[in-house]
Amino acid sequence: MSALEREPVGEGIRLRGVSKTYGTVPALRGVDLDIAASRFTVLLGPSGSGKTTLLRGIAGIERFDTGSIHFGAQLISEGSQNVPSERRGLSMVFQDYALWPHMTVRQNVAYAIRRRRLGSADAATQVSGALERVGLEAKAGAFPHELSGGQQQRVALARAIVGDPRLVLFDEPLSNLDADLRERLRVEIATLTRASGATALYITHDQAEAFALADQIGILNQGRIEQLGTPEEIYRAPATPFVAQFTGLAGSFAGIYVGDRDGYSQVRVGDHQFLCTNSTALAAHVKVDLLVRPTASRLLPIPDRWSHPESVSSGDIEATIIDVAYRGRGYDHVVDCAYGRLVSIFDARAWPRGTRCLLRIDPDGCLAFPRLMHQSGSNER
Amino acid sequence: MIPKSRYAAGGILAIAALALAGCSAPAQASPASASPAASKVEPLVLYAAEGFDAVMGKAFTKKTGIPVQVDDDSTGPLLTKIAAEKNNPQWSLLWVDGDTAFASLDKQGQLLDYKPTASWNTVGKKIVPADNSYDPTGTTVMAALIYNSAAVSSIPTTYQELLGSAYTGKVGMNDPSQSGPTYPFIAGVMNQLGGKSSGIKDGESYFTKLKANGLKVYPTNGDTLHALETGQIDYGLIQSSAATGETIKVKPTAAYKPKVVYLPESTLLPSVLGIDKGADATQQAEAKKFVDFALSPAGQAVMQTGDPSGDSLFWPVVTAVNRLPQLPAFPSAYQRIDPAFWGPLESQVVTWFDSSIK
Amino acid sequence: MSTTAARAQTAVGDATDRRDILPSVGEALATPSDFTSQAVRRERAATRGWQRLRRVNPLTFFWLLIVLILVLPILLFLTVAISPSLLDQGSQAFTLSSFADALTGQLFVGFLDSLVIGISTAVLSAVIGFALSWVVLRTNAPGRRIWTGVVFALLLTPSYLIALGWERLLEPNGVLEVIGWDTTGLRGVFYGPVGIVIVLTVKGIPFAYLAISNAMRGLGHEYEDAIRVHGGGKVTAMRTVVTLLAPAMWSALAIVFAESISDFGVASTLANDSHFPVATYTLYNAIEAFPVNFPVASAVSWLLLVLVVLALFAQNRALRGRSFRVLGGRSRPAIRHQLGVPGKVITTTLLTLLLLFALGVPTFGAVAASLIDGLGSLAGTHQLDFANYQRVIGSPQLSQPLLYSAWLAAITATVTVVLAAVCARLLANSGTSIGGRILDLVLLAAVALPGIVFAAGYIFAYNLPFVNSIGIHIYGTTMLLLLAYIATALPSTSRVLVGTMSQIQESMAQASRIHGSGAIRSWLSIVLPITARPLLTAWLLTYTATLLELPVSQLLAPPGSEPISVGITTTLSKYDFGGGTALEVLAILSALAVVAIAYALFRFVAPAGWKNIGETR
Repeated sequence: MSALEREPVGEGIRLRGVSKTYGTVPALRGVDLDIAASRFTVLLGPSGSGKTTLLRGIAGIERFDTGSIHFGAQLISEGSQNVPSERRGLSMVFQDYALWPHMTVRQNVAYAIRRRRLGSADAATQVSGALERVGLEAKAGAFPHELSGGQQQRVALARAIVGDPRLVLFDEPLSNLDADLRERLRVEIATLTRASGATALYITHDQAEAFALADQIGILNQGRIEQLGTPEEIYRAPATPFVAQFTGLAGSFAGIYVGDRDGYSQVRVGDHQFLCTNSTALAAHVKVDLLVRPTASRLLPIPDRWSHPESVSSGDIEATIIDVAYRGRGYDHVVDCAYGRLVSIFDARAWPRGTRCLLRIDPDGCLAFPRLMHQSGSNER
Repeated sequence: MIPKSRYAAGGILAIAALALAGCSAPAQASPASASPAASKVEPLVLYAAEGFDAVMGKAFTKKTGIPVQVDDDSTGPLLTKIAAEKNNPQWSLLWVDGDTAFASLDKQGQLLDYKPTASWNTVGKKIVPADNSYDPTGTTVMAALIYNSAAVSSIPTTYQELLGSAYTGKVGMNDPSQSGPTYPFIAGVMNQLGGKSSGIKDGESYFTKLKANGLKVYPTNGDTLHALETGQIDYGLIQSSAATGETIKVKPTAAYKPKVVYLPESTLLPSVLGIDKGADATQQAEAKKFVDFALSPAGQAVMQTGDPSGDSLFWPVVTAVNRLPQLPAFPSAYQRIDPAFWGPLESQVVTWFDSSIK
Repeated sequence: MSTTAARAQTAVGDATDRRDILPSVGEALATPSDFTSQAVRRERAATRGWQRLRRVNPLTFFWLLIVLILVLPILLFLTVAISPSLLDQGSQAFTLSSFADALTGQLFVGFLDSLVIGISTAVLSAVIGFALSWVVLRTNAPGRRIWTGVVFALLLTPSYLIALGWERLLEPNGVLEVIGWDTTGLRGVFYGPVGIVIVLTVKGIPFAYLAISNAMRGLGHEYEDAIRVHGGGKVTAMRTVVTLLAPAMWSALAIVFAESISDFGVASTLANDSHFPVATYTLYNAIEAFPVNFPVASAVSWLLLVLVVLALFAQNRALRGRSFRVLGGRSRPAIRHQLGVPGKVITTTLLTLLLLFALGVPTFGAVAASLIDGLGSLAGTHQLDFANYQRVIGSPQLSQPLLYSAWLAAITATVTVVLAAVCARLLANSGTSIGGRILDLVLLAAVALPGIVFAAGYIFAYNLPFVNSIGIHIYGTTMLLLLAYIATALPSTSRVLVGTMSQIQESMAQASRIHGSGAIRSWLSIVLPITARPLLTAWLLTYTATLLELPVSQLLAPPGSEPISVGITTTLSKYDFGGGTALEVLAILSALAVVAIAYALFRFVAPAGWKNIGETR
């Protein structure tokens, strides 16, 4: 355990067979989930994937139709048995901060520690401590409307960690903040939560945020968990095309699987053959989608004698630069090639629009998945 | 588990019912229970629309020790209340102006017949019904013709004269849909002109002609008086007590000198007291005592001082009592209209009046 | 750049269930089978003893109360049309003849007339109420601070006084004619539908203003800012505000509509000569007759309910699917528009005209009737004469009934505000669920039915021999009068609060629950303080409306205790205009004093945080 972390006080969360339907729309379909104690788990998914429903069900704001929730060994909810929100030992940071406008900052934070039934001196110390940890002790007497968005969210964070809850829930807390604030606050969230030792469950639709924060990520899509694992696992070995897409793709090509070579799979796309990895077993000559990560692509100048036969199978392909976007550290390019468009191709220097170039695809950053018929929307970026 | 929640719901209902019961003080013993005449005293419940009803209640209690709970309200709401209570009446006595309501109550079998100890004078004898189902305590008449003597030269002697040119656009009366005493006036005119057989037709013809002669209709006694005071009309047909009250209250000026005449025939409008048949024996006995008190000289004296500018200005119906000196002599030409006949026609006549005359 | 404007306009993304988060009765009392953890053992202990009662869903009590004070009387009254013999109002156990009797040609004309009046009044009241709210809350127009007081004065002013004032102005030899203005034409116009709409609108403006201004206070300026930054002008900004305030606007519209169609007094006074029958005419005819024709009155009530259902239908369609939740910790105080000189002149002129029109006329009427000896008449000294007031002040005729009514009004206000807050929350949260719709219908039905009908329903319900035999003796007691007052006040008060309640962001209460407070405590410590000012307004609204309430008082006052309104009416009906009006004026002044004291108390005593919400800088 590093110096930043304390004795774990958090408990693991166990969800089994959880579903919820709103009217005719199923929001969650039989979700099983294990959240490790004192670890930071992030649920990542687009809107409508069910992550908010899942969070609110764990918080007790809503009831699941079926399934059970356990915090450690304690049954929280199953069938008609239900522990109400206020007895679950949770805290939560909301997207809209949810600070109570009629209370000062100090009172907002103190409210959350009432359930500990500490003496007033103890409670005051805890409150001050929490405010100091988020750097807002000076504003303790202010009202929420006098604070900026970032400050309000930090107060909400202080309110969440005061009193050492066993589980802290985060409902897309950074969505309403400006870009620069987001990163700073993300760090505060990460350090303070880990320091408190609580289990953390965080939901977001932002992939970068999720990867930066998580010990463990669950990808949700249409009410199901498509994959649960560490960020590295998710990124390197996505279980489904959706997971791959949601965690960042430059683009995809349609092709046919033709066999294995040197530990990689070979995919024929038009006149080209590419090497790639795959996590699912592929039958011969099955149609596949070749999904390309942004990190797997490089821009190279076209050599003088281009139509060299080796270049065909080396994963290089002719492309034209369509757009350049400055990113501070370098440039993201959008390129068109014979088989489609790729975005987010990074280079330290800018390639002017309209330039013809060579696009090199790195096998380690390519994934092949069988192309399913009637995939609803998941092939679209 | 579901069965437990049902118990809970039942428990809540029971608690709520008990709470309701506990919070309420039973206003009076349920009159519907036919208990044998107990010697204990029960409060009388008096629904009354008279200006002196509260003081009468107190005076009665002082004299007999029987508590009286007075529900003092306007006639309309009281009658509505009685009608709504029909399946479980809570009143012992009803005291309002006009006998048509009582005729109707008697027809529905809700009144207790009682012949009081006092003796009726000539007027009183005319009003009292044959079966003694209700008793008048005094009477006013409809209508008194109040006029501004400083502004007019001709004084009518009959209703027919009002159709003449001297009175064009100068006569006002009340609206029967808003002024309770006015329907008896209209019914009286109808009765006078054609009796029960053709009264309605003749009456409608009369009022139509009156309207053609510029009749103005105002909501109530007070509004008609106001119209007289402001010169919008010179002659007003209002209740006798209102007319007398005006002559007493107002100091005559050069421009305004109110005077009153009574055109033949004046229709009697008695204040009537009736006893609820559904009351238990104790209450019935006490109610009878109240009726006797109201008709006694002591009671009538209270009534005559209880509302000096309003309801106290009535003519007595019992022999032992004289009218107040402020009141003129009783009009010589008066009639009593049959409430059993004219009562049920009220709705029809008032509707006609509102659509054709107003 | 805040995305709040867009957020405000779109429906909630992740379809969230708006179910209330209170636990159901069943789960609260369930005994868990074989769990050993501490919390569960605590649960078990909590379900024993009287704790069991605390765990029961408080909403159950609420619904029970609604049934007792609203549903039961209304239902019983409506039953009389179909089954008169049930309540001894006729011989038939089942009949539809009362509908046949009621459905005359005049009734249909009356319904159309009532519909026109109802809609005109509602729209006018809402427009004026909105404009007034805007001027008072969002601009720096001079003289704006008096308007809350004026609005309460308007609420207190009985329509009788308004009509009287106009009559005294317009009558032949009335004040205007004395000045030299021929009022014949004006009279022809006023004594008809136009006059009815004017008087009812004046009565409707307070409701509209209170409902809309409560909601407008909760609207931070970020929404208007968002519009302005994106290039919209003042008009677009205002239109956005109107849209965001839609729940409050529709609440105001619906309640004013319902009040208008149930009116009879104003229509009968002013439409006397113009042969403009309204729907309630048939109903009142039926009630004025003796024996009272309750079956026909009941049949007309059924038909009035049809109008109410139509109004609700229109409202639901307008509010469908949108989110109006804008009130929370992030709401910032709104900023006033600074008016230029022409702006100030215009608003001051308009405000003054409105003041004269709405309040000046009845004040004049009151003065004419009670203060000036024989104004306009041939008799009298035409001088200021306090004789009426001297007579009335200090007489038990005033003090006892006034104290009685004031006491009852205060209790009613307190209970009603609590119930209305719950109603408003339910209406705001579950407006589209079956429960929400039924509640909406019941509340509006109570308004649409004339007071006398409502009161008769109470007599039917609580004077049933069966009710007596199970030990409930509340008919004829103050308790019943209180319940009836609460039921009468509940619809308007809840609608005044709906705007605010639909604004409270759900996360306010949710955050409180999650951080350890139970349902009731969350309510008391979070929701109520946030809504403190609107709740205060609602309390005062209920107080003032109840103090001078008439039809229910007339029918349900216990013998021996007289509410002030009954006393005033009896005095007036004895053609003592001077005394009756003096009583009325004194009662109104006493209520205004209560309003002033309440606001002063709030200003000086309430915690700073409570006054934060809705502050405009």
